[in-house]
Amino acid sequence: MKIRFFIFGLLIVILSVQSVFASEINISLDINHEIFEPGDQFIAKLILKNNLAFGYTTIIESIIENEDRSYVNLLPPLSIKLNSNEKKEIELYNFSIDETFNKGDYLLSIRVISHNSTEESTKKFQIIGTLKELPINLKICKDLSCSESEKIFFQNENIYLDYSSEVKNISINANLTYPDKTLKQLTLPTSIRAEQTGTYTLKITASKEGYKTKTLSTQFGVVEKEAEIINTSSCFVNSECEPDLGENYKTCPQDCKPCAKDNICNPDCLTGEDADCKQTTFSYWWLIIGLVIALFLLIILVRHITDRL
Amino acid sequence: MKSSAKILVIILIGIFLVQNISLIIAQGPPTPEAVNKFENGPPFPETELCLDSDNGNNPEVGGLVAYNQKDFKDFCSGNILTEYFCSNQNYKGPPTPESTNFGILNKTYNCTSYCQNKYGLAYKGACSLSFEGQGFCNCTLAIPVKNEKDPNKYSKKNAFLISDKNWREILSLVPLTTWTSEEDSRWCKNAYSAPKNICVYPTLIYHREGESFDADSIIYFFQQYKPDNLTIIGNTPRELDNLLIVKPKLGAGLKEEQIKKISFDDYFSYWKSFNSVVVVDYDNYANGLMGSVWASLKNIPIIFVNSNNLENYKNVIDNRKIYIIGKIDSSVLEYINKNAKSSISYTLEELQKEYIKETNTDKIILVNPNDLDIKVIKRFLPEKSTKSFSELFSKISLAAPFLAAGKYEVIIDTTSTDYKIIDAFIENKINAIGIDPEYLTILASPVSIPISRPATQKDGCKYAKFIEVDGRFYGELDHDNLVDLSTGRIFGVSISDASSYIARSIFIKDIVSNNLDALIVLPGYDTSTTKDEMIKFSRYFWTPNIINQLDSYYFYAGWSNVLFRIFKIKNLYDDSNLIIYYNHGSKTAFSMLISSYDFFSNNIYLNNPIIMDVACLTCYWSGNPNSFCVQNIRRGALGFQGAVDISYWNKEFDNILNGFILKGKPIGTAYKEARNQDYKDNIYNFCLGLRGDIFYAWIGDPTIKFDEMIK
Repeated sequence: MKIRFFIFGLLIVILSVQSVFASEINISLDINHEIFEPGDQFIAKLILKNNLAFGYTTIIESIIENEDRSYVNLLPPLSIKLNSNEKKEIELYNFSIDETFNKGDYLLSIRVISHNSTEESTKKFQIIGTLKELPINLKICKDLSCSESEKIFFQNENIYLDYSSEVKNISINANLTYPDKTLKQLTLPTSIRAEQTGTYTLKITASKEGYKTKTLSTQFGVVEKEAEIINTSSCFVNSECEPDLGENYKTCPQDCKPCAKDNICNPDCLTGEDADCKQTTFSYWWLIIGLVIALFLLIILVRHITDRL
Repeated sequence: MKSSAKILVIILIGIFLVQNISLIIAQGPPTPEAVNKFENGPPFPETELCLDSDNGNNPEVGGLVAYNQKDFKDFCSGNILTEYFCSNQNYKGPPTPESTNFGILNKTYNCTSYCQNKYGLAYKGACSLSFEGQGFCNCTLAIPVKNEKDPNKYSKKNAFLISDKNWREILSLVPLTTWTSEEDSRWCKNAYSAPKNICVYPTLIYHREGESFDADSIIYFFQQYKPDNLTIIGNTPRELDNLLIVKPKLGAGLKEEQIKKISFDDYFSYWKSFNSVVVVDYDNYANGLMGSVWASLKNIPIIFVNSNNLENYKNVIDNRKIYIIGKIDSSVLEYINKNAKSSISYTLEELQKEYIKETNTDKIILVNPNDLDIKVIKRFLPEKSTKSFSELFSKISLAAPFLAAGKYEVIIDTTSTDYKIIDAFIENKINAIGIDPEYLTILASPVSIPISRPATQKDGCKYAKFIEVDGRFYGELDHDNLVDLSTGRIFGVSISDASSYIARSIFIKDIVSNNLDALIVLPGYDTSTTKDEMIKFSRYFWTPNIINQLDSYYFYAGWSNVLFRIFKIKNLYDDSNLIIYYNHGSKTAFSMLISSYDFFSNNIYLNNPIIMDVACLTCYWSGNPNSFCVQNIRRGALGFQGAVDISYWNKEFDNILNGFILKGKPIGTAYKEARNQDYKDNIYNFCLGLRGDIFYAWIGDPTIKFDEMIK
């Protein structure tokens, strides 16, 4: 019985020592190439080996990203069950490199979270030979030299349409949509006469071997004439109340005092206080005239009744 | 004939009487306080008794003097009171030295002068008649009782446009374009998203640097809102004037006669009358932010005054009630104390408390007032103008009071740019001002108030370098890692984006399209993700109940399925009101769907969508104006779920959609609950030391509701 206890205890000690000095899991990350070109298949595999005498579930994280993080491919976490001492091969990525990938350095990173430890691994790779970005800008100008781009033109002006790029011999397919929605194919550079008012849209598709085909558009507007927007200000702060300019206490209290002589009868002011407010005699007049007329009618009525009697 | 002659005589007598009476009435105002004698000697026998019902020379009481069996009533002529009184009660002898009259005297009073001399300049006097028809000076406070706007100054769909050059003018504009008034709300413009007693007109602040300007997002708002009139405050670059009249899609399509320019000096003319004014120190922007919101609540002007410009505002201060916010120049304070009707001083915190008390608000706006100077220097070329500008992500706080005034929200401000200090500030401030908040809107770009913090070793993240802080820290109050406040952030490349966003969020009903269309794009994880797999996956959120609430939807699932139809799907992006995307992202794109480059190279503007996604980095902060979340907001999105770094495969769509669409909860609340559910469900987030959604910030106003999006 004692021997049995001793052996059992020894086994526990051995297992414990194993788990302290040897890692729980061995991982090995592999990709099929270090440099990839368009048409290549990118394959990343992970080999896991459980070093423990019991099984558990690992979580595998994996991501591919390039230097400027314009490409990020983070996979959902994978849960993999490993039996005791089991070895497993997992295909993490398998995709085709197409010519639209940005060329440059990429990094595949993984992290394996197992029973009591975390293992990490990375693999660098390069993508080359893919299409480059085509640097191109559209130019809409008032003159042929096109020193300054414009957005708004006046009716019947000439408008010059062009593009600029440091890359030579670009193939351009250009279409101009007029405000009335008519579509016209153009060869750049060119000029048009701004007959219609409204928004024009110039859309081009630029292509050249070795470069990504680029579609871009720009809008420009044509107006009948320069905008003339009226200024309706009626207050010009200068410590002087200027009723001729429209200033009064309501519109310009910065300059005009309450009840000032400013051509406006200020309702806050009382009769006699604001020289702009008319005297009230006019209404009294009407009242009195009304009374006289009423008196007159009364007399006629009385006379009429007395005559009858 | 005989009777007619009699009548004629009567008429002549009548006219004679009228002329005489009117002469009395029409005579000019007598010299104030001139004592009149009866010109033709003593009219009454000296033995008569003189009796005065108002007990002597008492202009404030209507009275009647009985003398010589005749009555003499105190009477009014215009605002002039003639007050009768006995020279000496019961006097029977010769005249006294004070009076050459016998028995009865009269005295005229200009009631205004009388009342102001007696009670001060804050009073006015009106000559009034008592019930018995006896005249007296009625002394009352001179200030207008009402605060009301002049309806002639506003058209039905008026909009206002101002540059971001002068913060004082912008803050002053708050109560002019957005104010609370039961009375004015009968004629003014109301917004569905604002309380019904709030009058609100869209106010757009454009960014200007010399002749360069940014108005892209503003022009798009005008295209959607279609104002009937536009009032521009101050001068504008010529190119902007032209842009306003160019027909869409480039321009706003306004007619010249719909646009007028005014000077800031015209400010007060928008009020028909106002009895109070908010006064803030000339240089105190932070106090001005909340001061302008208070002015809006009271429907009164706000002025920024110091000893140098006090002269301009004396007439405005005189006889009015003054709300002083914070410290002001001693000369200004002295003037107010002498000449204002009354004054109330508030510290900023007292004002915040008072505002919360009056509005019962549960909404907080957080700003950094130093953002007038905090900026990212980078060149950026707008699409609708020809000159680039370089001061990016600055001055966003200028838009805060317009949102606060329009939706009753209290502004709190911090000048710290340290997320820990800001987090503590929010918690302390909430306690100090006694608000029980539900919403937190951060009106700041991440350069002024960080949207993320660096991940620490303890966080255990391998890929992410940053953790979101808007909801997870600022919006988390009781340190249980669950988000407590419905949190959102509004910012843009320039103030133009933020101010037009706020206009959109207030006037959603006025701009949304007739149909509610959704675009669901679920390519999945990688090339091996199949359509069936993603359809099965989508069932957790894409339910018949949700679909029933929409007019139409486009649904694309599986990697290849999406890839083959990508050009068609891309074209749907700008038509959709609800967009759900599940795939990879980058700083400038939904990787498989659309990018910021697509936006500006094809002049794409959006149909005011709410955008939910699983996509990394779409709101990563690096000061890049082409950041995908920034560009979506700039182009009309009402909400965007943006990851601040490489993130995780969240499972939040079900809670967001059910809360927002089916239960009618504000988007911020639905989003908060979705995040908390991910925390409870312990959705794997690639960071071993943190749990739940630690990456996605909500960009947009958290108070927006689904019913606002339905025409």
